[in-house]
Amino acid sequence: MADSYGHTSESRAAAWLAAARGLRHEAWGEALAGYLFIGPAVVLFFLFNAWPVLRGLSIAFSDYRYLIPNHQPFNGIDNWLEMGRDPDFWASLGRSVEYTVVYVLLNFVLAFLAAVLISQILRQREAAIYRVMAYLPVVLPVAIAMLVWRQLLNPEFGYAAYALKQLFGKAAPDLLRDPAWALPSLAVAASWKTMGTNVLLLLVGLYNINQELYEAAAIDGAGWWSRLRHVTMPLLRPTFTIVFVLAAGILGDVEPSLIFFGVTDRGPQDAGLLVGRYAYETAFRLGDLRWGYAAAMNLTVGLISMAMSAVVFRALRSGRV
Amino acid sequence: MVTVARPARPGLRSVPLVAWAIRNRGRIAVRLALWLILLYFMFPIIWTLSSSIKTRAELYAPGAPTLIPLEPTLGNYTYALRKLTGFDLFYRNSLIVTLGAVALQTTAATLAGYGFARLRFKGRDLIFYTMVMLIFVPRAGGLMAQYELMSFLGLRNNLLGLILAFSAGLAVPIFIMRQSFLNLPADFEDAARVDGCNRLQAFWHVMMPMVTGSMAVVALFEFIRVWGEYLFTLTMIDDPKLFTLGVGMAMTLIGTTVEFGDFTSYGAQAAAYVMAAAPVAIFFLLLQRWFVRGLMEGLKL
Repeated sequence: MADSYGHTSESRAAAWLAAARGLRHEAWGEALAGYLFIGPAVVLFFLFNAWPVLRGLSIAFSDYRYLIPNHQPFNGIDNWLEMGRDPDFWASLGRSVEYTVVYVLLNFVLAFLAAVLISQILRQREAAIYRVMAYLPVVLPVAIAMLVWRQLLNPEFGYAAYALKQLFGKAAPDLLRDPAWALPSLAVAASWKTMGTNVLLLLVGLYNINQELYEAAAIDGAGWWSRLRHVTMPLLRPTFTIVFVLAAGILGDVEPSLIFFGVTDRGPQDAGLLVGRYAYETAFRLGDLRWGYAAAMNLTVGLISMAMSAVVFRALRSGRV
Repeated sequence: MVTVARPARPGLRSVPLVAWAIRNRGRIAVRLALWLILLYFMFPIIWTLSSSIKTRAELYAPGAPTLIPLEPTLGNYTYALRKLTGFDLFYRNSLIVTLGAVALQTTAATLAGYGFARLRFKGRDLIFYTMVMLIFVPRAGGLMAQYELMSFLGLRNNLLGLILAFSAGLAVPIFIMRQSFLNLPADFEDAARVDGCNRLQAFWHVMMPMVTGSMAVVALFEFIRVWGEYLFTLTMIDDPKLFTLGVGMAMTLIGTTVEFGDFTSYGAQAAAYVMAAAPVAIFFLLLQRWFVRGLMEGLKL
C-alpha cells in the first residue's frame, strides 16, 4: 500500500515515530535547560526568602521564646489577646501613626511640587540633572542619611537650629531631645531620604499625560491652576495610588528610629519607640526574646498597612478623591 | 508654560534684560520655585560636604555657619582614615558584601529571566507566579525566621551569609529580566540556533547582550539596597570586625566626641559620611541614564 508520494504506510509510521521521538527529545532538552537556567535563582529565593516569610507567619501564632530552649508552643490567638491589653503596643502604634502622617504628608507635598515643576522643564539635559538631584538622597545609605540629619538638627552646631533662630528670632527647641519635637524630627529626616522615589514615580505619570489635553484646556481658557486641578490631578490618579500604597508600609518602619536615636536609646520619653521598633526590641533585645509576640505584632501592623492600601486604592479608583 | 510675546512698549520694558525677564517670566518662576525645593533635597548633602572640609575653628565658630569654607582642608579625611577605629574594615566588608550580592543576584536573575521567558518546561508559570505572589505576604516573623535559618546553616557572623540573603530578594529582579527577554523578538535566537549555537551559546552571544540595560537596572537597585542595608546586618552580625559601613558607623561613630589636634570627631564624621556614600553615589551617577529610562519603561508595562 503506497500513497501518492510512494511511501508505504510502514515507512510513514516510522517517520512519524522518529519525528515524535526527536520532538520529545527536543522538549526534554528544553525542559532540562529550563530547570538549569532557573535553578540557582529558585534555590536562593525559596531557601533564603520564601521559607523565612512562611516560617515567620507561623511564628506569629506561637509563644516562641528564643532564649528558652525548645519553647515554641502553638498558642492560637493568645498573642492578639495580649496585644489588646498591652499599653506599650498601643502607645507605640499611636506614635507610628503620627510618624506616618507627618512623613507621608511632607513627602507627598514636596515630591508632587518637585515633579510638577520638573515636568515643566522642556530642555532634556536640564531636566535630567534635576531628576538626578531629586533622587540622590534615595541612594544614600539610610544610616548616613539619619546621622547627617542628627548633625543638621543638633542644637549646638546644626544648621537647622541656626536657620530657625534666624527665622523666628528666638532659640529653637532642641529638636532631638524635646519630647514634643523628637518624633516629628525623625519623620522629617526619614521622609527626606525617600522623596526622590515619589518624584520619579509622579514624573512618569506626568510625562505620560497627553500634551494635547493641556493645549485644549488652554484654548478653553483654563489657567495653570485649573489645568493642574482638572487635567493633571485626575490623570495622575493611578500614580497617586502607587505612591500611597507604597506609603502604607511606613507604618512598620524600624531602621530610621534605631539609627536616629541609637540602638540603645528610644529618644526622649520613648518618643522614638515606633511599633516596628517595639516589635524588633521584643524579638531581639528584651527579656526572653519573645519571637511569637513580636511576629504577631508585625503581622498586625502589616495587615493594617494592607487595609490602608486597600482603602486608598478603592477611594482613588472610584474617583471620590 | 505658555508665554505670549508682547510688543515692547516704551519705558522700562525697552531695557533688553527687563524685556527678556518679562517675556520669560513663566520659565523664571518655575525655575526659582524648583531650585528652592531642590535646595531642600540637596541641602543636607551640601552641608555635609562643606563640613567635611572645614577646620575645627570654623566648625565651632559662633554665629552664622559658613557654607563655603574659608580655609578648605582635607585634614578631616586623613584624620578619619587614621583615627576612626574600624572604618577601613567596615569599608572592606561593605565592598565584599555589596559586590558579591550584586554579582550573584544579577547573574541568577538574568539566567532565570531567560528561563522563565524563553523555555518551556513543566511548572514554569506556577513557580514564577508563586515567587511574584510571595511579595504580597506580610513579613511577620521574617527576620526571626532568617535568624533561625542563618544560625542553623552556620551563616550568622559571616559575610557569605549576608551575600546569600541579600541576593535572594529575587522576585522583582526576575520579573524585570523576564519582561525584557519577552520583549525581544524570537527570530534572533532561532537564527542563532539554526546556525548551530547551542542554547547556552545563543543565550550568551545573542540574547544577553540585548538586555544589558535591564541588567544594569537590576545591579544598580541591588547595589543601592545592599550598600545601605542596616537592620538585617545589625541582627545577623555581632562581631564588630564584620560590621558593614552603615551598622559600623551608626554603632561606633554616634556620640563619640574624641578630639584630636585641629580636628574633631564632628568634622571627621562628615568626612566619613562622604567617603561612605561616595561609592553608591558614583555608581548611581554612572548608571543613572539606564536607571531612569528603565524605571520609566518598567512602569509603563
